[in-house]
Amino acid sequence: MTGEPTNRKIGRALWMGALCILAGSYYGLESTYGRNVQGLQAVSQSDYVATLRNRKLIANAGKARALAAELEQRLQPVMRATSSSATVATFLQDLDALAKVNGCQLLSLAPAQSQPTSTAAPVAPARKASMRFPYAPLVDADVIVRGSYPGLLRFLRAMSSGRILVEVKSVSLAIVPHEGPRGNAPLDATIHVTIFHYAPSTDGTAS
Amino acid sequence: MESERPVFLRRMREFTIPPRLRAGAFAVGAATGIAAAAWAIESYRLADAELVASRYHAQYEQSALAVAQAKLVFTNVAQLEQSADRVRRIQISGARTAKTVAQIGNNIPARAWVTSESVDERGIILSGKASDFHTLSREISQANRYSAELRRASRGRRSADAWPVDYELHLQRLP
Repeated sequence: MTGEPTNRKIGRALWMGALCILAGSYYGLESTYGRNVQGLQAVSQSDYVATLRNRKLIANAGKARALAAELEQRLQPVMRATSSSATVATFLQDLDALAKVNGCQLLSLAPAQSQPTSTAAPVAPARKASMRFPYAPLVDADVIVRGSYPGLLRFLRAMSSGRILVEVKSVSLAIVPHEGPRGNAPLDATIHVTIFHYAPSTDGTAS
Repeated sequence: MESERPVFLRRMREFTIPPRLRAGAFAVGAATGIAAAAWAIESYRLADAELVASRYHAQYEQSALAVAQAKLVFTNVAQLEQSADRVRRIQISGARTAKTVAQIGNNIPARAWVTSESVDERGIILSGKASDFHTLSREISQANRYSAELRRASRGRRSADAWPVDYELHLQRLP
């Protein structure tokens, strides 16, 4: 009759073994596969989110390309003459034509005493290095034009929007002594300008 | 004629689990089966997760390359915008100056006269003649958008002159 208690012990041991197998498997699966799967899922999730974010940026790049083309087109009318003599020659030609169109007379174009400077767009020092403005001041000049008040105003309005980039820095108007009614007196306008020329940098982009 | 069965096969056929141990043995077998199935499922899940992760990572790397190219475009656009903006400001400098000159011209009272006008970034210098000091004071008071500083005002000696008062005004744009 000793077989009965032994069988009972073996039976219990079997149940314990089954429980141990289940618990061990659960622990083993959780510590190896479970953690790895969770880690991989987290990596996939972050890659997915980053990809979505990148795709939004890429979609915006299309718009940016269109904007770049538009900006290039906007800059197109400004002549890209790198030679200083060509720049000044074209400017003189434009000035003369502009004066004739507005009933004025171009009296002189002479380099000013001061150094060429530009004040049109003061750039913050931190951004100065990154910004590459493709035009550099070539020379400061004084333009003297004679004409009527409205003609000179029209001349002044149009002179900085020609083929050559020119910044009007100051203007002085003075009455020319003449015989006749005071209201019709011609005026001499001395216009101080900075002439710019195209100055691309050596890396082919811009200075 | 049949050869005799091997002993271990015979023994296996003779082997029977005692009835009292059958439930325990079944539990061990079931637990082993469940564990094996769970391991198989988890292996499959891991392989699948690795596959998905590698696909997503490849997509991410591809998009990261495209983003690097897009960033170049953005930089180019930013520089072009700055350039275009600066060019525009230079191009309107003539029109801006002409507008200032016109504004000043339109505000001069009827009985005052400007003989010279100088406009630059610091302000406007007006020199002229006026019929009297009252007219000159009206000219100063009409410079609405400017702070007017009278530099000089003097009456000429010739009494027959219609514009006896010489003046010089310095106008500065108000902030």
